Amino acid sequence: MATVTAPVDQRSTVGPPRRRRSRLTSPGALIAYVFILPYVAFFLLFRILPTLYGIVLSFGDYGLSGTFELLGLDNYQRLFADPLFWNALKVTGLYAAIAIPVSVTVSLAMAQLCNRVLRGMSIYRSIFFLPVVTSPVLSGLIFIWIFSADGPINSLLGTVGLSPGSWLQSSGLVLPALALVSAWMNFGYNMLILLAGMLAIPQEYYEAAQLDGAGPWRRFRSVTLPLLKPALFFVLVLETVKSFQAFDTIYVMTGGGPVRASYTLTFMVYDQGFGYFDFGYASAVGVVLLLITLVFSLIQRRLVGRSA
Amino acid sequence: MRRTVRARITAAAGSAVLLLAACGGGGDEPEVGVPANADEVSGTVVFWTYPLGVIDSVNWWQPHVEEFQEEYPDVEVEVVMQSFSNREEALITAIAGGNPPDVVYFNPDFIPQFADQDLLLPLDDLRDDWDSFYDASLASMTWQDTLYGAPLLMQKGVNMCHTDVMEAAGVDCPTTWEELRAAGPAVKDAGYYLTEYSGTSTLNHSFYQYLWMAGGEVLTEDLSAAAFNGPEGVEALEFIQEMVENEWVPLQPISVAEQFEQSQLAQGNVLYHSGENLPHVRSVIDPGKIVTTEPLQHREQVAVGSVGAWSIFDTTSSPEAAQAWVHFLSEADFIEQFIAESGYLPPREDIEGLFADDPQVAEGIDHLDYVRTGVMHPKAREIIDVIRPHIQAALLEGQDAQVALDAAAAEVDALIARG
Repeated sequence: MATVTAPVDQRSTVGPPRRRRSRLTSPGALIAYVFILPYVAFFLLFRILPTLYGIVLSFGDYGLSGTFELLGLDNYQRLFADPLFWNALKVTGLYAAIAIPVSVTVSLAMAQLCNRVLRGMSIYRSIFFLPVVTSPVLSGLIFIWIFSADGPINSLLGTVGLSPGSWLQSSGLVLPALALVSAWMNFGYNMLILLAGMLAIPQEYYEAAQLDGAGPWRRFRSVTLPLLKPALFFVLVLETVKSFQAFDTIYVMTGGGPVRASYTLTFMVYDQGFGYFDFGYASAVGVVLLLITLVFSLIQRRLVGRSA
Repeated sequence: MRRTVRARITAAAGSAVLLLAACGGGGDEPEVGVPANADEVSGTVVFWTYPLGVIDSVNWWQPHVEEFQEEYPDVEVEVVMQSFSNREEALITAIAGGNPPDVVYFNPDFIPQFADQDLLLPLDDLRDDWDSFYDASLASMTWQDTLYGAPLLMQKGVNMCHTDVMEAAGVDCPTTWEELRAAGPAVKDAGYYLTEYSGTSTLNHSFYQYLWMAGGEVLTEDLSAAAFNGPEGVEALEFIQEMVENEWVPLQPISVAEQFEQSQLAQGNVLYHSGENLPHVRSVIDPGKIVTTEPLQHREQVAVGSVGAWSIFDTTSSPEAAQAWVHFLSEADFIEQFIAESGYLPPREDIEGLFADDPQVAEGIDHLDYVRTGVMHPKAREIIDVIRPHIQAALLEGQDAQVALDAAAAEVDALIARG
């Protein structure tokens, strides 16, 4: 029987395996933990803990005097039998269906417009960002005037021969009006994210496409959009969360009306909690909203994020 | 692994229960009544007030705190000037966080909500001269036959006309529904609005006003069911619908909460208005163009208004000190000073001679008996929020008044039945 032995040079190097230090416990990683610890602590304290507390509240009845009575699923049973909830869910869905495409489209268009070398472009980008840092309450008050019967929008419609609209008095027009306000307020932030994504696309791809005879629209469709997917996915998730949580401009502009046409789930949480002191029921609405947002985010990740 | 997961879930659930148990309130009910010996009263009173008319600074309260402390030297009063904006959120956050005020300024609709949660100290025994107060002021602060607020002021919304509009349309200031209706066409032809209807503000100042004038009530006498969908309610809503359909009122306020300064009234485009505070109106509209009149009448004469009062949370750690402070704030001397400077109306009948040089404000005192502040029910606010969209449907979408009110009544009945 032949015996195989390792060559001399290999024998001299063979020994017990050395334990590799985990990257997670390396000195560099530990320093990183120290830097992110304050944010993680705040995140846990002001986001995760209140969320868990809200979930627990949703299973009971919490009185202002501090008493808590466990009710099990009663709040949820009441919720799913409440026409107000289904109306709020419908309004939230409709609003998201209008606001998300409008916001993303406007943001993409503005990012494309800003993606060029032009004198003063940095100033333009700063101006476009101004609505983001403007108070939503102030924006809402101004847009009340803009959408008023004698406001600029109806005046503009009149100059091009179109009849004026009762923007905030009509159940059919109020959500598109609010979606426009949302697009105006958010496009600056989204524009910067998309612009960063566009700037990361190598110019060679555009040059190659140009050489192949692709026009501007074809280059945008075949080069920009596919390579922008990671940024687009991020913006989509942001806009989804924002539209599901829309509250401040609705509170200022319409109060959930007319005829509950802008009464969203977040508005219902506010009314039930701060208006009627029914914190358990309000928390149940909040939990349902959380689950809906989570499901949509996961769907988006599957459809858009996976190929990003 | 399964055992570890189960242990973690048990620990988390246990922590949650402990956390909630720690939030548990309760305690002995404090005794009501100011001790005869002021030296026995001590402690700190956290006092939440709000901008009341032109009294919008902590500095105004300081001399009065010092005057109070001459009698109660061991009592500290911490005056906190809150904002009316997000008032309820701030208060509820403070209560839920275990840091409520001791004494707070309340309006009538707060009383049933907080009293029902056993958060307020009964004040029936605080004074022995409650009969010096207007019945309307005490009734607005009473829930289930117990007084929970010591009235500080009464507010009667002004009933007024704009002289420019009267002159342009050639009409007098209306005092009845028939006169209002009769003035509509002339006012519209002159390019103005007859009045305004706010579809977003509290119904206490809008639909309920017309309902009460028609002789109706919001709820049945035992507060167990809706009553606003009766013939009186339908008549009231149809009257408002008539004004909307004839374009006698601007459409925007029906669905949008307008700032007063941005309203058609403030711009001098409205003939008749009821509800706003007269000093506030005067700050925007030239007082020389304001003509005040008596409250509007149909079957009943009703004035819009409110009562402001001081309530004491029973979570206070200094109940005697808090009661002593509220007792001081409800004395005739203090109220007279406050009313003279704030521009509101006194809740005490024994305060006379105020506003002798201002007949428009003095006229308001004569109409205090017509003031209706709202429905005293723990779910009063929720009832308003339930009814409001149906009123909007009738006004903006032309829904039949009876159909709209019946739909609202069904929701209100279900709400009340739920308890």
